[in-house]
Amino acid sequence: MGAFIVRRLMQAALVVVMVVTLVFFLIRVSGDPASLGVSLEENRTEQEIQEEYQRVRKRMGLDRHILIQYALFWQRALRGDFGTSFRYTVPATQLIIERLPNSLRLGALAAVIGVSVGLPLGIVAALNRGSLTDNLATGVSVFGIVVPQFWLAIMLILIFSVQLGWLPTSGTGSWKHIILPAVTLSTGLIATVARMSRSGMLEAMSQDYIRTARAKGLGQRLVIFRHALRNGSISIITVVVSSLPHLIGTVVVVEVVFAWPGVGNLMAQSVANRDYPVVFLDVILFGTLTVLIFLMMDLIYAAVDPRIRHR
Amino acid sequence: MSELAGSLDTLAERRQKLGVSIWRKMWINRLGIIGITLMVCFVAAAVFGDDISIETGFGELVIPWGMAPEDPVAVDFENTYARPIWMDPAEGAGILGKDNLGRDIFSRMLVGSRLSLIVAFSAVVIGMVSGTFLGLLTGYRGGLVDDIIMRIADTQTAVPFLVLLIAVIAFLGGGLMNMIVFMGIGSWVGFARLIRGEVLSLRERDYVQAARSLGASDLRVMLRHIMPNAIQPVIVAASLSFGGVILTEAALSFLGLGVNTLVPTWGKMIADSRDYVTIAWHLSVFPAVAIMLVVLGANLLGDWLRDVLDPRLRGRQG
Repeated sequence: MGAFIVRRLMQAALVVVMVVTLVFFLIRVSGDPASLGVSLEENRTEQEIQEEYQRVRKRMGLDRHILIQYALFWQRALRGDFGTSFRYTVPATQLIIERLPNSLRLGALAAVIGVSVGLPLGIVAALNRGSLTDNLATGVSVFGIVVPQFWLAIMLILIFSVQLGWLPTSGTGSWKHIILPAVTLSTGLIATVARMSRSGMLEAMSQDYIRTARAKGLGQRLVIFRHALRNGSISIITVVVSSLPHLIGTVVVVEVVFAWPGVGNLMAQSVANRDYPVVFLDVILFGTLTVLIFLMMDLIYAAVDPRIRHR
Repeated sequence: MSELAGSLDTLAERRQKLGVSIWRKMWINRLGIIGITLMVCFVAAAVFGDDISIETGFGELVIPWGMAPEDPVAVDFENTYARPIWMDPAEGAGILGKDNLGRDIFSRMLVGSRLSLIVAFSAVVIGMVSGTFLGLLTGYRGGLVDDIIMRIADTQTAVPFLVLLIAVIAFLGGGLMNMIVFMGIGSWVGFARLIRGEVLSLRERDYVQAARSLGASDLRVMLRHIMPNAIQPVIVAASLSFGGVILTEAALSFLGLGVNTLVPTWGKMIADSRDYVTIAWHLSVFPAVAIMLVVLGANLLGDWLRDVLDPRLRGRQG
């Protein structure tokens, strides 16, 4: 188990390094960050602008070879220094850390809603195959897959905030503020979890050990929860985890619509303001988070299922 | 049992049976028909919705078959927020009503469909071709090539794609070409993994060994002997990822990072309608319905293709 953890940790570290490298070169190739750091007020001469541009270039170290820049970047990054936000003139790390808890809270609640709605939906659908409930559940999960979440967000605001006046339209404050964003974010997850748990249950119910359990005279509830669901749970966990990168991507859109002060919203704002250090750090953060989630899941799997460790 | 019976059939009979069963399957699987119909409708809308103008050496060649009933950018301040004609015939404005500037919503949706479909189709083709090629290469060659390409694939999976796309488009600009290429690059991983898995099982088959011992080059073995047998799941996946690309493009448009043209895209229409949603619901509902129907159509088509192409699933339901 120890060797497995070490190997898996090293793999994760390698992927993080590659993510950072990828983002570094992508953003370096895709634009000149120095030109974004120069103010273009109207009363300045061409000369002044040129001079400031050169100064900014020098300050950001862009006049050196790209590989040296890359090395220097790592040197600073390992000390937790990812540059200063152009717009807020505070370290990018500080901006991100301030907003991260909001996003994590939102994501966690969405995951909880996704599983606690999707799982029963899928199980009930599988147990009443072909019935009205089954069709209804299928309809819900199809809707969750095809609906654009930014539009669903607008419609939820229209119904629950404007028409009914139950919940606030946007922002933070009370517990009421988080409900609509979390529900919007969870729709995709509800759909996938419901679909997967339905097919997982159907498959499990046709297995021999279920027939054996039934033949032993066990009750329906015991058969479902003790035997079928437990064996299907690994694949459901896999689905939930592997849909997390998508969930994280959707966070950006949902946070924008609900003006939720999280890292996704910060990213969209920084993109609009061309605040390059913040965007950079944001992408790295999202990537690292995803890698960590996968790592954690792998370790849990390995703890649960000894076969995985020896692969 | 069925395998035994299958092997006793003559080849011609089997082929005939296969042909019949595809059509029967198609008829039985009505959802597949709905999917095909939806896709045909949207492709028709994309092709015939707007005039086609081609820049030639002698000037502009225009095919004026645009079916949009009105000019999509024509402003009409007398009929702002006009409701759909079937809800309120008295107002008499547009099949799906007019927006905050009195522009005809149906016409805008028709004209906008072309851009969404072009982006989605091209991106899926790029992803499919590059993914298929890389998947063939890694699966067939193995070793170092395999390690490098698959580690790159792992890395790309680790970054939430929409986030990366937003960052790159923000700095590189979201022209049509950029958009298509980035989205294509974003989807190669799935295709490569699929193909690689198939290739790994195919490459040790007897017929591949036979081809190789006859002196066929690696490229020939890969393209002529392995690919045709490994391509089916890729076609299905392409159809399914089409819907995903449509949704991503709409989300980018919504965030103001879409293709920068005057063409109204569905995502942009929803974004523009945000401020008026309390006054007029139809501004954002119809473009959203269009998006949902395309995605639904692509998914149904994909499911149907899987049923038809994969004999192992034939006869199995749900």
